[in-house]
Amino acid sequence: MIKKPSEDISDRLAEVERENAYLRRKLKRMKAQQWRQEKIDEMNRYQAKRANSRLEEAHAIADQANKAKTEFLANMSHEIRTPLNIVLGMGELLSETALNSVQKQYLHSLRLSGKHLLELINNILDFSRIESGSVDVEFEPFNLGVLLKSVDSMTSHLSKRKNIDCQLVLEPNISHSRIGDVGKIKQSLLNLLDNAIKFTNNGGSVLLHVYETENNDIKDSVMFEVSDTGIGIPEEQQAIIFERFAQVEDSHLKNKGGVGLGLAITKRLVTAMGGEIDFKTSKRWGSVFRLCLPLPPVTMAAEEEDNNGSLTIVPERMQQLNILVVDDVSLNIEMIASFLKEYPVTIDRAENGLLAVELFKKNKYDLVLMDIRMPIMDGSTAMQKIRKIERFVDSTVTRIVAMTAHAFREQRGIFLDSGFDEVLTKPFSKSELLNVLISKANMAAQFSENPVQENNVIYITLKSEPKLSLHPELEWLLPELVQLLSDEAANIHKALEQKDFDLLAKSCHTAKGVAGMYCFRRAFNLIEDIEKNAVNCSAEATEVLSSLLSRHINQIRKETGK
Amino acid sequence: MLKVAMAVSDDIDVEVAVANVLSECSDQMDGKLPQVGILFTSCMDADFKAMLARITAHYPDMELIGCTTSGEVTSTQGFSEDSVALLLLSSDTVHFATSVARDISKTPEISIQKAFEECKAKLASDPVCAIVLPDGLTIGSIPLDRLLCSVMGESFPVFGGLAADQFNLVQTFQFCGGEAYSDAMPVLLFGGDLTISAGVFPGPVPFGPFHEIDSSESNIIHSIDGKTVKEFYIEEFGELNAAYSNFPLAVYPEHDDNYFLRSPFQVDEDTGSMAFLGTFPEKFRVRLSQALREDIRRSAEKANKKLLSDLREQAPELILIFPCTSRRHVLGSETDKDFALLRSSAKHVPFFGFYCYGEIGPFSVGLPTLFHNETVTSVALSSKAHKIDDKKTF
Repeated sequence: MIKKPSEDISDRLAEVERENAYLRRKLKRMKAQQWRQEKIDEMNRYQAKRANSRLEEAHAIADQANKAKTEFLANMSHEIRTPLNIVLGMGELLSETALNSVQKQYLHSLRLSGKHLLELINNILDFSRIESGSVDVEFEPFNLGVLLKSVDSMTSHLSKRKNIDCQLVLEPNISHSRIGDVGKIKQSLLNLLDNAIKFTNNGGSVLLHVYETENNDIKDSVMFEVSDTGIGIPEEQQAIIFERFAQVEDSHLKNKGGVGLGLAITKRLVTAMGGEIDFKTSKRWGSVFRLCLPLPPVTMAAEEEDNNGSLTIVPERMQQLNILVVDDVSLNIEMIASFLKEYPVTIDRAENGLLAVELFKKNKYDLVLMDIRMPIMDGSTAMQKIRKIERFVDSTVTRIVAMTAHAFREQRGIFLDSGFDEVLTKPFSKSELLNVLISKANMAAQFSENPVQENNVIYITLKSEPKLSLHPELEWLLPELVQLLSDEAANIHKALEQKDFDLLAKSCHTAKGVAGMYCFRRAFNLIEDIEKNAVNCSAEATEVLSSLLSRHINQIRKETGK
Repeated sequence: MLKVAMAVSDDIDVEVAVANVLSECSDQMDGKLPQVGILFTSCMDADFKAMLARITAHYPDMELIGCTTSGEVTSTQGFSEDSVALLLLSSDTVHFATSVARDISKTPEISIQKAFEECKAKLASDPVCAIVLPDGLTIGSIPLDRLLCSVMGESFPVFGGLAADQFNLVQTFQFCGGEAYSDAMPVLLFGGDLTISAGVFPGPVPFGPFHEIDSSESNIIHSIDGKTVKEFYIEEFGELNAAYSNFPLAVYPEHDDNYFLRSPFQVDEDTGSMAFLGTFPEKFRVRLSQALREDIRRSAEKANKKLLSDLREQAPELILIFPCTSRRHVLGSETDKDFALLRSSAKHVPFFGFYCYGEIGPFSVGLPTLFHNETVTSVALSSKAHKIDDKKTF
C-alpha cells in the first residue's frame, strides 16, 4: 500500500516526538544524576568535616585521659615503691644478720617476691609509657663492651641459680665505641636474656653473641643474638609472642612469673630505636632471638668513665662525710643509716624540707639525700632554697641527691634539670646507695690529690667540669670564658647545619684551643670527638656529639650561674 | 550444558528494541528453543503487556520472568538504561520452572509458599537454587530473607534483586509469563545438573562512632541518639535532600561485630521517622557510612576479581548479577566501571543482571539467604557436565 505524503509526514512527526520525549527524559535524568552527585559530594564533605572535628575532640579527650593515666600510674608507682623500699631495704639488712637456715630460706623467698613485685611494677610502667607514645630515644656515645659486661653481670646470678651455662661472645673485630640509647639497649637485652634463662631447664645453656652485620634497611647494624636450649615457643603462640600479656604456656614449666610484657616492651623499644627483632624456635633445640640495631661507630678521644657498679669502696679508706638525710618516713632514714653503719659517715636527719634548710644553714654537708614528696616543704623547694643559700653564702656546691619513688625517666630528667645532682630511685639497694657515696668520695679524693698550693692555681669545681684552671685574680674572667666557649660551640653547630665537614673540622680546631687552654676538659674531649668524626664525614656521630656539647655547655652556664 | 543467548537494545522505540533483542537471541540459539527467558527493562513508560505479548508470541512454550529496573547489565554492553535486555536459556540437563507470588506485601508467607510449591511441582528434578525478583517498593517492611528461608529451607540458596523503577520510587513491575504485576515476586527455580557459587560485595564502608537506636519497628527507625532520624541525618549531613538515600546505615545486631547495610528511602515529615529498604533486627546499633566513589570502585574491583578467580575453578556458563541502584548514583558517568574488569577479562563468560532496590543472596552457598542493600550480589551457574576450556580462559 502506498502511503499518502500527509501520512508520511504525520508518521515522521510522531517519530520525532518520540525521539524528543526520549531525549527530554534522558536529559532530565542526566540533570537529576548531576544534581545527585553534587549533593553526594557535598554531604560527603560535610560528613568528613564533622568526623574530623569529632576526631579532634576525641583526641583531646584521649590526651587528657592519657595524661590522667600517666599521673595515676606515677602516683601508684610512688605509693607502692615507698613501702617496697622499706620492705626490700629491711630485707637486705636482715640478710646481714645471723639467721638460721630456715629463717634464711624464709627471707630469701621474701626478698625474691619483693624484687619480683618491683619488676612487675617497672614493666607495667614501662609498657604504659611506651603505649602512650612517650618513648624518646636518646642517642649518646657509649662503650659496647662495658654495656655487655654490665648486662652479663646483671643476669649472672639468675643463670647461676639454675646452673645454666650463660656465655657472652663479642666478636673481636667489632668497634666498641658506638652511638645509641644505652638504657633501651640494656633493657631489651636484659628482657631477652631473662626470658632465655627463665625458659631454659636447669643445666641448659644461653648464649649472647654480638657481631656486626650487613642489613639493607639498617645502617651500621649490630646484631645481638640470644640463643637458648629452652622449651621453644609453640607454633600457635609464635604469632602473638610480641603482643602484650603473651606468655609461653607449658604444662611442664608452670608459673614462670611475669605478666608477659617483656617481649612486648622489647619489640616496641627496638622499633623506637629503628631496629628489628625476629626469632627462630623449635621444641627440640630452643629459641634464638635476633635483635638488629643501628649503632653507628664513633671515634672517641677518651673513654667515659663507667661508674655503674664497677667501683668499690673500702670503708677504711673512705674520707669522712657529713650527710644530711631528709625523709618524712623515718624508717627510710633508719634504713639508710643501717646501710651506712660501717662507713665513716655522720648522718643528720630532717623530716621535711623546711627542717633540712634550717640544718643546712647551720652545718656544712658533703652530701644531701633529699626525699621529694614531704609535708610542710617538698624536696624540690628545699633544694632550690639550699642552692640559693649556696649562691649568696658559700661558693662551693653541695651534692644534692633526689630520693624518689617517681620512676619515670622524664621525671628523672626534670629533677636533674631543676638542680639536683643525681636521682636515687626508690626502692634502692645498699650498693646503689653506696654508688652515690662513691661519686662524692671520689670527687673528694680528687681534691686531696691536687696540691692546690703548689701550682698557685685555684680549681673552680663544677659538677660538669671537675677542675677549671684559672688564676684567682682572673676568676672574674669566668663568664667571659664560658661565653667564648659558647660562641665557638655556635660556630660548630652552624658548620654542622651547613653539612660542611671541612668548616666543621676547622671550627672544632679553634674551639678545642679555647677549651684546652682553660682546662674545660670534658668540653675539650667532646670537641675533639666531633673533629675526628668530622674528618670521617660521619654526620650522625657529629650531630649526637654536638648536641651533647650544647647540653654540656648549658650545664656549665647553669652551674656558674652565668 | 547451558545454552545461553543474550541481547540488549536501547532503541528509542521500545517495540523496535524488543524486536531487536528477539532477533538477536534467536540467532544465538542456533535454532534451539529456549526453555526459560529473563527480561529486564528500565523503559518505565513502555507498554509492558505488549512487550511481554510480543516475546511470548515469539516463544509460546518458553517460561518467562522479569521486572523493571534502574538500568540493565549485560556482558555484551555493560551498563545500559532505557533499554530492553533479554536472556534465554536452554539445557538438556538443567531444569527450569517459574511461578509468581502475588500480593506479597499483604500475604507474604502464603504467597511465597504457594509460588514455591507451584514451581516445585513443575520442575522435573529437585530444586538447586532459585531466582526471585520481588517488588522493591512494597516489601520494605517484610523480613523477606527470613520468609524465603522458612519457606524454601534455611540453607536453600535464593538469589535476586528487588524490582526498581529508574529511581522514580513510584511503581515497579514484575513479569511472569505474559503478565505484568506489581506487589509480586516472580520465582525461577533451577534444578538438575547444576553447580552454583555465590558472592556478596558491600560498597560503602562504615565509619565514625556507634549510634544507639532508641526506637524502631520492622523497616522503620523512629529515633537515634535521642533525636528523630530526620534530625539525626540533618545533623550528620548538613541537610536532608533526596541524596540521603545514598548514605546507608551500617547495622550491627546486638552482640555481633559483623554489619549489614540498610539504605533509607522515605522520610515521614510529620514524625521524623525514616523507612529503610529492609527490616532491622530486634536490638542493634548503627554507624554511618560514606558514599565515596573510591569505596564503590574498590568493592566493584573486589567483586570482579572474586568472580574471576571463581571462574578459574568452576567454569561457569552464566553469571547473574544484582548491583544496588545506589552504586549507579555514586558512580555516575563511571557506572560502566562496575563491570569493566569482568568484561575485559572474561569475554567468553556471559553475565546478565540489573540495578535493583535491594539484593538477595547468601554470602556463600550453604549459608542462609540474606537481604542486602548497597552490594553487588552474584551467582555463577554451571552445569556439572561443563568443563572449562583452557584456551578460552584469560
